[in-house]
Order: sequence, then structure tokens, then C-alpha cells
Amino acid sequence: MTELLDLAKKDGRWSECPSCSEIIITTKLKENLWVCSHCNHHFRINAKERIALLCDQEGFIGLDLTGQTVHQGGVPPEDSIRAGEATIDGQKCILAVMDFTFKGGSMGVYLGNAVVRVFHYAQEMKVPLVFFTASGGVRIQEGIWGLLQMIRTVHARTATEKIPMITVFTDPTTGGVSASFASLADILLAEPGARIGFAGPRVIEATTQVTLPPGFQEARTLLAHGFLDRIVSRHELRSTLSSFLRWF
Amino acid sequence: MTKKTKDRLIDVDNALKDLRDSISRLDVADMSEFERKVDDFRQEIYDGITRWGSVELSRYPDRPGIDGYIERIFESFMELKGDRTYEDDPAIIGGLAFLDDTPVVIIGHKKHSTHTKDYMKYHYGMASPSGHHKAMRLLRLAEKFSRPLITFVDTPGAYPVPEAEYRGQAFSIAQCIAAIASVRAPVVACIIGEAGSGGALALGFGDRIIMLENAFYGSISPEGFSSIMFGDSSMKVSAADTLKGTGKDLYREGIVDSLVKEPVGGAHNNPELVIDEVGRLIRHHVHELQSLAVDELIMQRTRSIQSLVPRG
Repeated sequence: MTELLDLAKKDGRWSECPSCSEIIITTKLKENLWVCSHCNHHFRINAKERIALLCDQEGFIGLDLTGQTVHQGGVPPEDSIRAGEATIDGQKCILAVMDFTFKGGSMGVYLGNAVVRVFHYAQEMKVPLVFFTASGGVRIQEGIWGLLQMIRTVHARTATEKIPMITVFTDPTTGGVSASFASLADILLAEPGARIGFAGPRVIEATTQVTLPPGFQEARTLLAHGFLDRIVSRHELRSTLSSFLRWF
Repeated sequence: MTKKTKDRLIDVDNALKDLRDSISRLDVADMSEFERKVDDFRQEIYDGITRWGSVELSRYPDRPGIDGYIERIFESFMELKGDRTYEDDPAIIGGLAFLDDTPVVIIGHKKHSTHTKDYMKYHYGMASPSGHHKAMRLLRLAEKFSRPLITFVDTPGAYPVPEAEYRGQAFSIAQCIAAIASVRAPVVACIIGEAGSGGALALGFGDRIIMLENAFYGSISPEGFSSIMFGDSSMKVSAADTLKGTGKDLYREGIVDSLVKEPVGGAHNNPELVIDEVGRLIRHHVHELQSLAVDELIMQRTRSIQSLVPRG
């Protein structure tokens, strides 16, 4: 039986909920927007899936985020972020989605450039910006250049601050992304259970020698401390975003 | 500096002293030739200092901290405390002072007091959200009264404790970076020691950046880099080489405007010399920046922020 289960998990027919360990048929899970029907755990999803479940039919036209960058050895640009002109429940916006499945959504020079471009597009087109974040932070392999993307993206936001911006923090958004452009939006939303913070829990535990309480750096804790406007379940994202967008 | 290098230098110093004693007894030619050779030798050792060596020097307990700079460069420092919301963060020191006759605002990380080496009291210079809010409050003063802002960066990073997270560490850093990026007053940032991660960046950017050659500016400490990539801190030496965060590295990349050479063995071997050089550079940059109209200043800053990507 266990072997059968492993096999079914391996070929993707069944999925195990990382929160309650329930085994769910993947097609059912997908129908339920990748939310566990037993415990409401929101599975991490990639940018492609996110765009598919948010936008109206034919409601996404991708934007070029690579600009004039010449790619070494013809290697295609990375897939850590996608953005486009989007229609969400009838409302127009620029939608940008970070992808945690690509190198932990880490922010290096490529992502920095892409984020700056996203802000410029929103300004040029004079439409609100909806930004879904998912990132472990700065891409440390790029040394100081990764860190400096925090200033570039923050500046891109302050330079376009008249453009309405909604950030939706998804699991996880930490380090150099939570501490830069992402938290400078006009409206801050989060998915249930998303971890949002600056320092890593292990670093904090090592520094303070204390065990962190349940819910630490979780969306509900941030909401209680006044750092979020609302936690929005995936089923209500479209309607919530569209009513905010309508206000702007 | 490795212990081995230090031991070798002590040997050389002892040998030199013996030699000097013998020669003075013999009453022969002057020592200058010997002294020069020894200095050359010393220089050779320190020119070959590794990046990890710089990391160690940047954290060296006797390295001059912000107090030393404030005392020697500025006059009539008037400390201002508190974030006007919750508390006074001991890790960030700030206030008003005079640079010669120019009124300025100073903000920086305080790692320890020169006299007590009381690291714990100052959270090792690791700022809490209240520290970043205090910095922003002082920054607004600089803007309101059109005074140049001088920052000093010396921190392993933002304070990694639960309380700091509950009070919005990420948000406070983002706001502080945004405030510096848009403040309508000249900003000169001085990177004097450790400059780790977002905590350093919160104060670590300006219209001009001055950096000491053995200061180390990075997205993460070499130990942290090694832990994430290899599971423990054993690869910290090569991690320092990957991070390329010394003053020399950043000067070569065009990120910092002025590089301050340190005396043989590090800044602590001649703090006055280092501080005076930093003071000279601050004056130079402040005078230059003050001659610009604010709009021009902001335009130049925008250009320099936008160009924070590797060349080529």
C-alpha cells in the first residue's frame, strides 16, 4: 500500500498536504485552486498557475522583462518572475508574479532589472500594479550586487509612488524582498499561512536561544501587529483584488 | 589577520628591537635602512591580506567605532534619542553636530562604547525597527533644515530577535532605504566596519560613499553564506572570496566613491590617521554636494541608483 502511495505521489496523481498530511487526488486539489480541502493549507504555486487562476479568459498579455540585456551564451532569461497586462474580474492592471520554485525566488540583478521594468510599465500604462511576492530574499551568490537590488527596486517604487500598488505576500516572502519594494505598496494583502518576515527563524533561534512560538512570522501574526490590511483566501483573491482595483 | 601572521610580525618586531639594541651599543650607522626594510616586509604581508582577513579586521574589537569618528571629526555633537513612537534603540546613535562651521546630522550604528566595549548593551550595533524609525526621524530633520546627512555603517546586520520581527523589521528597513533614496538633502555614507545585509543597507547608501579598505559590505556574512551553501561555516574563507565585499572590491566595481587605505595591520593600529582621512573626505564630498541645487542632487542620485548593476 505504501509503495502504491509513493508511486501515485511520484507520478503526481496524488498529493500530500504538507500541513495535515492528508492525501489528495491532484486533479481535485487543482480544482480547489491548490488549497487543501481538509485544513485550508494554501499550497505554494508557480507563476504560471497563479496567473491562470487569477486572470480572466485571455486576460493576460505577457510583458518583456529582459530589456536590452544580452544573455551570456544565448542562455534564456530566468523564470523567477512573470508580468503582464492583466484583467482580473474585469479590472485592468499590471500583474507581476514571483516564482519561488525558481531558485527560491531570490533577488539578483536579473530580478532587480525585471522589477524596475514592471514599475516603469505600470507608470507608462497608467494602470494599478498588483505584485505577488514569493522569495527567500537577496540572491547571496551575487554578493553585493544582489543586496544593491534592494535600493534599485525601492527607488523604482518611490519614483512611481503615484501608481496604485497592491502587494500580495505569498509563502514565503522574507529577507531582501520583504525589506524592499514589496512592503512599500499602498495595500498589503497576504495568503493564509504565508510566512512573511526579515530574519530567518533559525538565525533568530541561534541568536536568542529561544524556541519561536507557533504562528511566528505568519500572516495572521503580522495582521495582528498592524503590518497587513487583510488576509485573503485564494478563493476570494479575484473578487478582493478587483474591488480594490475598482476603487483606484 | 591570522594568528600565524600576527606571530610572524611579533617575531620581526622582537628581532628588530634586539638588533636596534645591539647596534646602539655598537654605536654605528643609523637604523633607517633596517626600519625601511622591515616596513616593506610588513607591507608585503598586509598587501597579501585575504578577504577573510579583512572580515576579521572589520570586526576587530579595537577597530575605531562611530564614537571615535564623531569625537574627532565633528564639533558640539548633540545626541538625539528615540523614535517618537516606542523606544530608543541603543544600536543606532544620532544627532546634530558641526562639521567645521556647517551644521550636519549624523546617524550611525553603535557597536560598543570606545571605553567599555559593552557590546550587549548596544546589541552589537544591530538595529531594531525603532532604530530605523529613529534614523528616519533624524533624516527628516536633515531635510527640513537642509543640512547634510552623514551616516556611519558598522553592523553585522539587523537585530534578529522575535521582538524586532513583531515590530516590522522588514517594513522599517524598506522605509529607511526609501527615505534615504528620496531625502532632499546631501547624504554621505561612511562604511567603517562590518556592513551586513539589509541592516547595513538601511544606512549604507548615499550621494557619496566612503569605505575603509578592510570594511566588509555584503548580502550576508561569509559564515552565513557557507552555512546556507554547505551546511556549516567551514567554508567561510572561500565564501568571503565569493562575496567580494571589501572596500577594495567595491571601489574596483565603482560602487564606492572613496577608498580609505588603512595603516599596516588595520585601522586600529592608527585610528587618528584613519579618522582624519575619513574626515577629510567627508568635508570634500559635503562641499561638493552642497554646491549642487537640490533637484540636481536628486537627479544625480537617481542616476547612480539606477546604475547599480555590474558593468559589462
